[in-house]
Amino acid sequence: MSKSIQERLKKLEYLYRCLCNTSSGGGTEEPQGPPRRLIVSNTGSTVTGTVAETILTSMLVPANTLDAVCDLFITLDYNKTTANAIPIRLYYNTSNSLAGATQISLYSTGSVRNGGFNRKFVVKGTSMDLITTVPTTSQLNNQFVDAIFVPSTVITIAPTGNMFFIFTVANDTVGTTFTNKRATVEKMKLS
Amino acid sequence: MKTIIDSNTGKVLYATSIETELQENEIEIDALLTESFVNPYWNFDTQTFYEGATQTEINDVRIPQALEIDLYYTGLISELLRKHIEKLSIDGIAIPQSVIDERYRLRAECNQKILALGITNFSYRQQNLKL
Repeated sequence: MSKSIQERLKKLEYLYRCLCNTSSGGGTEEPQGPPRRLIVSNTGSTVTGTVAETILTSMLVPANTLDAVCDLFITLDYNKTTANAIPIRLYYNTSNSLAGATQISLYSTGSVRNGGFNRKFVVKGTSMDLITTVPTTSQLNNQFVDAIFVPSTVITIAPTGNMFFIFTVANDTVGTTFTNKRATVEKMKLS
Repeated sequence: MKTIIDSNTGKVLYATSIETELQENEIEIDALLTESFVNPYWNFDTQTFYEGATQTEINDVRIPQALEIDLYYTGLISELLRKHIEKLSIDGIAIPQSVIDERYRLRAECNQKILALGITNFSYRQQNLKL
């Protein structure tokens, strides 16, 4: 191969590396940072016609979906048609039912009609740290808040089986409509 | 939409429009709870819902709710009047009738919401310094 062709090939290789953002050491570099992936989402469900605690949405995390060490992010963007307070509860269960379910979060909505409920949980094997002291205390978001000075609540989960995360609401009147704009469960693998 | 109740006691467990796994002691009925009870139960004979909580349990739940409503409306009224009271006390400018009317409307709305909770005794207000 002539020297000029070799130089041209080197230039082309350099340009290719620049375009692909790869190092000269060869091989494609992995994207930086741990990937955050959507496990399940649900949208459009509503609750109306009753003031009983009612399932708004139930999201299945199939068996063995979680990693041994990962962060779990659960969100609910909602709309309600009343200014009155409506409690949103989040439960964890191994079956699609509220029977025997563990309440892991609460937010008593204020007068505003729209909101975004966010939770981050720290998963290590079969333990899930709720990063909050009392999960039955009203809280909109457990991220980006100040430190807590007492132990946080840790529950036991069974990630080798199906897991259900269930949102419920209890409307103030039968005429109120509570809408799930979008609910999601995401995970971020850390090992 | 179905209401899930305890087949032994009649206690209302929850309602749902999605398929859930019923436990042995659970049954689903078509009737929906339309009245706000602290501890709702289902009467199998009369086919109606009823309150299973004691008056003490009701007060324990309802009074904090009433207090929350009271404080919310107190804030609205204070904000409405703040500037007008400043004008009245410093410049001697009377509070407009429309503002006074709005204050009465807010108070009536507040009382209506508290009455709707089933509370008729407002003595809890005397124990709160902000009210």
